[in-house]
Amino acid sequence: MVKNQKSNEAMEFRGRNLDEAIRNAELALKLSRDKISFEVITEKTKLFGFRGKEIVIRAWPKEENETEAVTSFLQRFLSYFPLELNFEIKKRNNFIYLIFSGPDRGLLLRQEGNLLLAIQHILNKISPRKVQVDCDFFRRRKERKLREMAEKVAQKVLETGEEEILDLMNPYERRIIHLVVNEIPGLNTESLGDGFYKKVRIFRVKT
Amino acid sequence: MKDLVELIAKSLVDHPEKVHVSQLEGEQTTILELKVAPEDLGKVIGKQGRTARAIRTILGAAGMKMKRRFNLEIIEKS
Repeated sequence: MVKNQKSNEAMEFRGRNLDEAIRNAELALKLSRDKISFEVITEKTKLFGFRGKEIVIRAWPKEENETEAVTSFLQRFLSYFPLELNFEIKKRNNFIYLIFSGPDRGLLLRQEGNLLLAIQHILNKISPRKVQVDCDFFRRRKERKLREMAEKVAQKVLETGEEEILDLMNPYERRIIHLVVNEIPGLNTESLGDGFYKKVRIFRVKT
Repeated sequence: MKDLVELIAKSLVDHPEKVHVSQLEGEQTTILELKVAPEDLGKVIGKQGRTARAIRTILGAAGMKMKRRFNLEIIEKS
């Protein structure tokens, strides 16, 4: 499987015949073939009539169906899930943006959005596109809180000259810390450890 | 709740036909046994168990609303 360099939308798939190439596309794009658009790029037949044959196609999700996997999953999901929730789905440039509302949205936001992020995790396994979920400006509020915390710790490091190590954070949270702190001259950051959750070290550097 | 786990599991795996969920009712706790094909085990557990944890979080929230405990057990189908 080769990523197409011209666009990040379409990818190339190979197979011994068209059916196999489409099957590979189905697996990689997580869509059934009626939801995939494709074009045949090459159909190489080896000289002298040898049986060996390879076909390359370029395939991408059909426009109108990009949000369908998420929508149909969520509709069924919410019919089984005892919480009363509604959702609104929006397509932004490269990802699917999902806003939850409803009487039980408070449960989504408990424990720093634990449930909201759990649903997001599952949706991202299902959707061919990146899914970002939100509810009651959860993202904006969380970002503001992280910014304030980063600024406070950064100030402390600047004053004392001693490094600070923050608690474990996910990549999205760490990104915000890195961005905020690196705007301040004389400070630098690095992520410590490996895995999904890492700590961020904030330390002073000579300017 | 069985339907919910089945829907999630079937959406995640490569062999949805091999997904099987059974529900065992206790006094306060319901045990949900999720069986998947061995090659799909990783899909429902996820890297560092993140997917399994997400499913458990979803069940936890459902349990909070229904005032019941749901335990998820993931089993390899032999």
